Amino acid sequence: MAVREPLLAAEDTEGDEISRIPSPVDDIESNGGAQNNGCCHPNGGCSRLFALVFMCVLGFGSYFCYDNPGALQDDFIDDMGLSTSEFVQLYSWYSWPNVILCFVGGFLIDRVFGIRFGTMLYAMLVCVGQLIFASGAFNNSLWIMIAGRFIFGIGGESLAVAQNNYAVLWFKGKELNLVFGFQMSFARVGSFVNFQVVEPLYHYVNKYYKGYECLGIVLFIASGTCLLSLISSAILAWMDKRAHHVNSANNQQQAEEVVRLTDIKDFPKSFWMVTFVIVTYYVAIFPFVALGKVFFERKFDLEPSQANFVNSIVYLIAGFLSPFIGLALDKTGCNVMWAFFSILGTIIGHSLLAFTFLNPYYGMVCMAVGYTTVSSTLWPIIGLIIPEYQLGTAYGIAQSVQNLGLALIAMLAGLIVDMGGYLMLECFFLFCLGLALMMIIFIWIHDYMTSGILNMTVKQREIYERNRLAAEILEHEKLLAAGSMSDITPHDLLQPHSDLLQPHSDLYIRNRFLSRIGASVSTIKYFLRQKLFSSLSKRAMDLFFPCCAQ
Amino acid sequence: MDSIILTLLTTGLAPVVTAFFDRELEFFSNPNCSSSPSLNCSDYSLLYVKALGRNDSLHYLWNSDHKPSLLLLESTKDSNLSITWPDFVNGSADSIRLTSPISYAFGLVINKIIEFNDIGDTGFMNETSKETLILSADNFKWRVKSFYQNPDSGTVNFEVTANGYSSEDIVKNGTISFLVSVFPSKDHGIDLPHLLHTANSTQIDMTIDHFTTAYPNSRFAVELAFVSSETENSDLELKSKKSLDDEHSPGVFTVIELQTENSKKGNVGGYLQWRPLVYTFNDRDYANSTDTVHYHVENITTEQENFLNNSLPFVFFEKNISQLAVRAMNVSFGFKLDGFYRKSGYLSWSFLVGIGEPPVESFSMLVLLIIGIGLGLPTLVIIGGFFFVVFRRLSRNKDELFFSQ
Repeated sequence: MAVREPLLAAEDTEGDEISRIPSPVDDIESNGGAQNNGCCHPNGGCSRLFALVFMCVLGFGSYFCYDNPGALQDDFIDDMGLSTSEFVQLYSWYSWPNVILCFVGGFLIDRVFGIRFGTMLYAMLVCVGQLIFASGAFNNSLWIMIAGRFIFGIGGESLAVAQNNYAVLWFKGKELNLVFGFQMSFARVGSFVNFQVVEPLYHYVNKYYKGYECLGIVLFIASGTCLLSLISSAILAWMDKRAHHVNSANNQQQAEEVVRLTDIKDFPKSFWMVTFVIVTYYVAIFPFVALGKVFFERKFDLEPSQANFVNSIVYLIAGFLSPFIGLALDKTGCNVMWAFFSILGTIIGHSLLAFTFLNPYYGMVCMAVGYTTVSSTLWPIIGLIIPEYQLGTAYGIAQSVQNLGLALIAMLAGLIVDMGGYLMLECFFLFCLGLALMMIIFIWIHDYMTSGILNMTVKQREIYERNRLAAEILEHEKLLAAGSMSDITPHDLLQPHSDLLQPHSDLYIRNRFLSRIGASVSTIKYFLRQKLFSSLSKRAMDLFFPCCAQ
Repeated sequence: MDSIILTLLTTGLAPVVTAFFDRELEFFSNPNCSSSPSLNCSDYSLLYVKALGRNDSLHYLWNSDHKPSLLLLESTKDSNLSITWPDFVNGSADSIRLTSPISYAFGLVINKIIEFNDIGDTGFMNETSKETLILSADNFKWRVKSFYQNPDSGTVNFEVTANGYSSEDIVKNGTISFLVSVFPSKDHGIDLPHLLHTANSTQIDMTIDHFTTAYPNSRFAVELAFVSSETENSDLELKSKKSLDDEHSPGVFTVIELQTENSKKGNVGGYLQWRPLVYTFNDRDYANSTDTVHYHVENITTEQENFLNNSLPFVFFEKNISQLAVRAMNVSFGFKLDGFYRKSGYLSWSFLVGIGEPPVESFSMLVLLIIGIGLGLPTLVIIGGFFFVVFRRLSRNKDELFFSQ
């Protein structure tokens, strides 16, 4: 528990990471019938199931190994003669670099490595990092261990981004929330198994090796889980390639758009709003859990073991509940509404803890359910907002910003407790949650005024998709039919598209243009939708302007 | 510095008068002693603080010539203290009087310091155990170290210390000190645990610094004795309260109160109040603290009352002490797994002594503001958003009608 603070940055990962979006799902479905080679067609449900399994295993290694030091805290300190602050460095060297590196990692997936190679590379980094870490322990060298943790961190957080990316690519429009739920659940499982297994393992190895050598051996054994993750990354890459191959055969005109750093400024407002919610929400969860144990002991007079249990309720419930909540979300849609109510639930939970002496179980259960739901609903929203080719970057940004928020708030939280006590801390968390709630309402309104895609039920989303495609074709025809807009010269039309590599800006200009010339509301609305839902508009663009498809 | 303090000790100082204070404080050392030429006034340490309020006056008297003791007297506004010094020195009754009738009196005596060996590391003291040393408080050589008024806060502070201890069979090194603050108005203490005081209360910080220990697992405790002008049957209630608010004493939600029956009923009565923690380093911090343990309030029988010999309440109450409520209570410092006294060789505990009802903490402006903004803002946005959406929906319906024409 002493290590809780540094845990933060990583915990968040689990909550949030979750998605890798294989894009071609829709197309795949539509063309799926054409080729059917064997029981597991790349586009079939069976194939997705396997993909899900490997996606979960993908993160297992990094979650398992992340908390190795936490599970063996006393042994680390005794065997290597570390001070508490030196021990804490094992976590801080993991967390702090990821304030930036998540974003870099995500961007590199989009721009350089591609999802398949990127994932394998990050899984490899995790593996190598853990091996270096273990050899550091084996040689009783703190700085080698720190170096190992640093490399492990670079890999681990970026791997989480890649994992999110994969999930979206494969499951968007399908069981996306469920998959995010499963991944989160599995992250918890990894962490939980670590705490259960590593200590007995240490005692077993201790029969043969003593001191830091024993520690090193245990960590080497633990790195086996990273190897497992590396293998799944390879299998996933193969599966993804196979699926892509089949699909691209059916869809020749897919354009390979390339993400640029400058795209970030064109990310839709709703993305930044969601990121804001993510940050303000998670800072009220992870730093709280980090300080929770003492709070429960002090305020509710719990024994240390009880306090520990109450404190772990959040993650325990998240582990059990997230697949179910994910499933419920997949069946109902309405992500924004769910997010709204779960933030409200978290506010109630925090308020119970802050302003009553009611058994803390109630407050923590409220918080846990809220946390689980928010995690399963917010991260997929990013997948709805951002086009596939920018997803890695987007998830990377969200994660980085979150890591930054958590790192800062974790430090601030300790300070607040020292200065103003736990009451002030709870008020601060309530304040953050208030901001999150406010922003989610803004998202709701913003979404309502635009496409409404974020808060649609599943059925509405399907209808919307169908209509959107129809509308696109309609618009296309309208644009091409000179009669309907005779005052537009070909030059006007071409002008905005001269820089076709930047679809966002194009759409924006088109929208503005159309509204200037007084095109009907419905037309503008369709374009606005396109802008918001630009991942799909990409395909329309390819249709209309094949010249830009390479 | 010493010379300044010396001056302060021998002469009364002009009061600091400020409209913002609830009470106007004046302080004197050995007041009026010089009028008895036969006495060497510097041999005595009677410290007197007069707190003049709007409707009444409070008189704080401290004496550490014997057992350190504090006497609080409440009277009418125009009352003055009068001491017959030769009688006071002889410990005769009636040597301390007020010129007006006293409406309430409450006395506190630091009776003993107890050192015990906490063999099982439980934090609990067993007084019947053989490994217990009783250090009677009158065997310390108390010395008034400072007595002054803080010009900014208006608080009158005095510090009384003793270096070492020696009785027939026990000799010890180290310092024990009491820092007493008398406040002109309601506020929080400057140092942790930032106890909330009123103009009717005084804070005592007790410090045991680098004291020689007799046992491997030594812990210390203090026995406090109380006398009040309430009847002999008057109960003294000790209770531990929980508050939601740990804003001023981070991490500490418990406050312990000892109240006389009058105070409990909301009348003028005496009380003690403290947070159950004791700091183990000079630099007060939650991380450098351990718990206090308090024990039952015990009745003091007439024979035991001899312990009050010559102490201030004795002198004041002597003629009718048998009709008064006299009680004692122990507080021990330290709790299991804190490494015992020897770990830091330092402990410092703060408590309030006052008349009236113990002050109650309330949420600060800042807390209310944060909650207000944090939860008020989203509420406003929800309401605003609702009307916005309704408005839009209505206006859009019109548009569509218009369009269909």
